[in-house]
Amino acid sequence: MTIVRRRRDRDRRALGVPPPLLTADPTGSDVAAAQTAASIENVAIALYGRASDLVSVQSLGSPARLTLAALLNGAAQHHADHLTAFNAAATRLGGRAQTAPDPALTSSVVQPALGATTAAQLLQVLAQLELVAAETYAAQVVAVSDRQLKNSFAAITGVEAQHAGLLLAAASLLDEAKVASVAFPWEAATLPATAATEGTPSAFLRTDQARPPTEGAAR
Amino acid sequence: MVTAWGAAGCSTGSPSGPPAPSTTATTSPGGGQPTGDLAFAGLAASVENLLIASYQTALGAAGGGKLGTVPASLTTLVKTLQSHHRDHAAAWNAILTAAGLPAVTAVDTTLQASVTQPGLAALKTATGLTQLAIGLERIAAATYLEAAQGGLTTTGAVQTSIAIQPVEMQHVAILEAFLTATPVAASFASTAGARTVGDGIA
Repeated sequence: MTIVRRRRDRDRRALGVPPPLLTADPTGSDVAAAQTAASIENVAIALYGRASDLVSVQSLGSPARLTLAALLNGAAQHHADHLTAFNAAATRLGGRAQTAPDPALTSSVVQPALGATTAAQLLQVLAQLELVAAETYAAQVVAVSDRQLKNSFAAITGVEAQHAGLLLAAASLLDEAKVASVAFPWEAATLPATAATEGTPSAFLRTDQARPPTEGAAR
Repeated sequence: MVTAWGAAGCSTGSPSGPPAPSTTATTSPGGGQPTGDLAFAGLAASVENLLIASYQTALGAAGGGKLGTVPASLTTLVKTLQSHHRDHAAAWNAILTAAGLPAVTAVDTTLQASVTQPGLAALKTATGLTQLAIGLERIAAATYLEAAQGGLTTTGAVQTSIAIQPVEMQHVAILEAFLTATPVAASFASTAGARTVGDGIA
């Protein structure tokens, strides 16, 4: 319980007002949610910043390597914009900006990505990170109280889902040794029949992989 | 506007459907046309129905040779998108029928008149099909974003919207990958072109 809330309850008791039921302070929860989102974006930015230089990507011939580099760089820029939005919300709500990565994602995402032996494996791990982000933000749309933060989560979850879709489709092509088909725009005539559908595998975004909203709170 | 509330009979949702909605949205006093979140559910179902029907028309044109060569990668994708929209329509209709209302089987006739009818009439190539699909998916995504950001009041309806909106966005990106070197151009989703909760049922 925060110091502010203890004082408030003390004052209420002094006035004969019963303290409210013990519930999470909405603003504090919203701050944590914004910071957690920022910590996920920090993971994404750091990982995408290194991904293009990894041997698994560098070993691809162009134009696949160039396409992936552009995709990864574009996603990194989006994540930088998302980080700005989430940290702006955190500070606006009275917290501080989160500059650290979500530590829980180090073992589940960062290490597997850096240890990937093929570009397809790397892209699949990055897609997983994007899905975790998308699901986390979707869950927060109905959880946070601050309208502006809610709107940010709603406006960002779909972009992460887009990243995930393109990464999954590209990974599928690499898995099938269709390296030349990776380049955007796709040459539809030479694309395997199911390649594009690999990028949109589900009719609904679920939230079972959403990270806990306080996981990346600034300590 | 949707022209009629259709009879109940929506298909079951996919096994990986959205979480079970818990909506207490209302009908108007006197049991007239639904209002609030239920009105949006009807609108959303009608938009999904329109996408389903439009894709069916486009696939028919492709299969009939009216669009020239249409690669299997594109027709397979369109069939997948159509199947997703069937699941989306089923999800919204599940909300309606749980509230004692009939499922909506009609299409959004405003959107039909302004976008799909002229778009399908002008359809001549696979590229045109891709562009039309992108436009429709953008409208759907924008509609759900606008609803989730403030048009809806019940948790169930917001959850359903936010479970579908990212998928429509994904549809846009995958379709764009056929046309452009930068399939994801923007950092944030847009509500441009959204059909709104304020749109009633005719």
